[in-house]
Amino acid sequence: MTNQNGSATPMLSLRDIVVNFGSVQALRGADFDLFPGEVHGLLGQNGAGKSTMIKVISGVYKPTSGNVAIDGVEQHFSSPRESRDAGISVVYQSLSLVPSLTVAQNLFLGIEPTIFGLVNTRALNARAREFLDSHNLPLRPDQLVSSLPFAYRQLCEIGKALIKEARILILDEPTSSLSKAEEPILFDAVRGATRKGVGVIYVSHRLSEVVELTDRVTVFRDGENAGLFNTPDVTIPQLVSVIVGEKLAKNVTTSGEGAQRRRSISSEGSAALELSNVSNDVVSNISLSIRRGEILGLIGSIGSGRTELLESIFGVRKLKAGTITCNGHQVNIHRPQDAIDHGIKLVPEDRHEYGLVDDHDIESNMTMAMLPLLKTFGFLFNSPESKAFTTKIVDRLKVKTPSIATKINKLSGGNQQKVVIGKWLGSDTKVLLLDEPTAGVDVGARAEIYKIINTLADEGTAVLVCSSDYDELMQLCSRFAFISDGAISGTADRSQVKDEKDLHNILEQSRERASNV
Amino acid sequence: MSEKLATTTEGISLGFKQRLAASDQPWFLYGAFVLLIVGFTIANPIFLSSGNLLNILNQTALVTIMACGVGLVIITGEIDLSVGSVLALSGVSAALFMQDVTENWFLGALAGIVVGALVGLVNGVLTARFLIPSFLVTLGTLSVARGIALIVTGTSPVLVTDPTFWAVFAEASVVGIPIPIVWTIVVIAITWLLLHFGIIGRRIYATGGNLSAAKFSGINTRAVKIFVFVFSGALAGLAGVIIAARGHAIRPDVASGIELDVLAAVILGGTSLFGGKGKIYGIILGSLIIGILNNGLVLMGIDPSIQLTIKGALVIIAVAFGRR
Repeated sequence: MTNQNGSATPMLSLRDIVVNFGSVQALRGADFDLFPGEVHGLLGQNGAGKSTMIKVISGVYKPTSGNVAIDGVEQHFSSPRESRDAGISVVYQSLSLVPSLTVAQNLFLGIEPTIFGLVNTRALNARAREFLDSHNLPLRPDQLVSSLPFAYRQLCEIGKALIKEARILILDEPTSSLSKAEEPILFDAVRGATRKGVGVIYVSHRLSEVVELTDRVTVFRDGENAGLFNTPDVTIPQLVSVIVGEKLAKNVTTSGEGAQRRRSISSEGSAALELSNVSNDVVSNISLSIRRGEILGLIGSIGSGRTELLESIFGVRKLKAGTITCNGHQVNIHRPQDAIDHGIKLVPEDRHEYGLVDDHDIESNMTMAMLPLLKTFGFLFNSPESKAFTTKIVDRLKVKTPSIATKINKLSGGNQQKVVIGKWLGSDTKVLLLDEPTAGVDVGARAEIYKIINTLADEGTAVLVCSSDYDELMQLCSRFAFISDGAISGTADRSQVKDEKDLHNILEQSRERASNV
Repeated sequence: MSEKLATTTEGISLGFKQRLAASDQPWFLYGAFVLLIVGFTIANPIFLSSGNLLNILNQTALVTIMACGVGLVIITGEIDLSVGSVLALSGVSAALFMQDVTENWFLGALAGIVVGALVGLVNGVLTARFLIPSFLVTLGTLSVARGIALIVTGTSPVLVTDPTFWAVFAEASVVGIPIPIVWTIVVIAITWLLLHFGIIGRRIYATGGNLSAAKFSGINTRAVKIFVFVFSGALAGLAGVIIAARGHAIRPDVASGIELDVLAAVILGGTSLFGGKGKIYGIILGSLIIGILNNGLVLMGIDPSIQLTIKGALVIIAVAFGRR
């Protein structure tokens, strides 16, 4: 944290940035500074202006007014290319690596060392080795990118930016697909880069990691600066209240009560879903019971089998052995429709890939799973009913949208997620399986989604939730189950767990115990 | 309020060109439509006569009927290249059935349509169940169906002698409208009902829009795909029956290359080759453009080889414009 004192001029400085889209002001005079060697967090709700600012920095948008300066020299980027040439590199969530090539080939893609016009593979690997070592990136040059876990692919992406001599690195929600255990790998790489004088802009909705990693934090609200803090001087609750504004902050922090309140219900409720010795090619011998009205947290790292378990319950993956019992009746689930018929619903991890048709409207998406209920002789002659249903759910879940004919890709992440959940509310939901329910969802909408989940549980739905956000699990769940290598390695009651760190430790212990057996 | 802001900025940040391309309205289609009519009328005033316009609709009937089927296939994100050959095989089957099995015109027609549906079933099962890309499957059946049509006829034409068959599928007229146009209207109505009111329509859009999301919503996407291929096959079968009735005979090499017209109609109509997008009125408009183009180019006395070249180029231009 000596960095910003060490140099007087910031490497990147934005002053009074205004961006107008027609009559709408996305940024209304925002400032941002970045010093060499600094990790600077950029926070704010969706629509607060974060992404617009990033796009101004990376040359996608031209600001309506205001100054952009690099090393004190004024810049007028008119394309992403000019921004890249100035040493600015954005690492997006969707990575730009070629999976079928090796790490070295990806790093030097387009700038390969050649002999007589052919790629000099030996030099390529040697230079990649040297580069990876000097930046302490734990990758081997000859590894295929497709064989790498997600966290390591991100490292490769960061390496690719650094090798092209990026001085300013922008990370946009880099951990949304990482588990708690994988985060340190990314954080080490970020710290390694800052030691070489690179400045990092870190955009994330996860406050705990922002507090852990950054040196300073800038908060945007409604297109303006809402605060600039030295990270050591600020707490998460303070940040939350700055991000959402004073009024909303109370709602966000009180949502943990649900878990406490429900403990009494769940201990006597009857089992809504019972798995006994469920096995297939991805999970083995899973026995688990969830009571009506209970919210059970399923905790494990990526590749632990958590997503696969949910998919197995939902009928996406076939079972080899074991039985699933729903409300006392043994059920046979061969495909998602069977699960849906029994009232078992899945909100998948990647809503764009598995949950929604992005360029269809809200109504088509919302009714996609309940078409059989709307039909008369195979026809939707009662399409007013489809509209009425959609309107009802939109109101109930407070989806913020101009109309139900609005396309999904025009909604914010939080509202999209509400549509995915709403899709299941047309028929009786006995068991709700949630996989990363708030990935890419801002703080305000997150609280609303927690409220929806709690309400559903209060109404008697059994909820099984997977998340790598331990804060989320602590707020929602009354009980936890730990999963590693496709098997349940232990369970814990909410009362046995003090805080997020504790949860992490229990997971690690249970994993060690399981691997020692 | 912040949500609203994000929504609006998203909408406005699109450039003019992108917005046009992203809109569901096949704007360039209306332009092309008007332009063609004006151009051909100037070149030859006969073009705009009611007799010629009815003639265009009659000539376009086959393309429109098949475009409805192929349109549904393309909306699910697949493609059907086989319709021209299916038409021939179906027509030949209907004619042979009436020659060798029964004289009943209705059963003959039914046989033709069922044969078309069966080829569609093969296309659908190979695509949806065995996961062979529909491009390859239907390229294969394009050849196989044509081959069988040639084999069963010994490459010679088959006569159709039943006057009722001629009347019902080609020669009668209803309130002055030639019956092929009536059949076209019936097919359009059925397709429109299925697509915009049937739950199968919602499922077709969902399957083409995002296959995984459709599966995760409990939609049997295999069944949806098989359905659209069978539908497309059956409509090609109906087209085959109409062509057999029109000529009082059918040659096994009839209508080869018509799949280009059909695909051009569907794609010109703004149907996205990536699936999930497409409207029935676009498909009708696309068919009409193809019909007008065929008719107008003939009236202008343009060489058939040049006609072919123009139509091919048009498909490429349509895809280039329609691409997102």
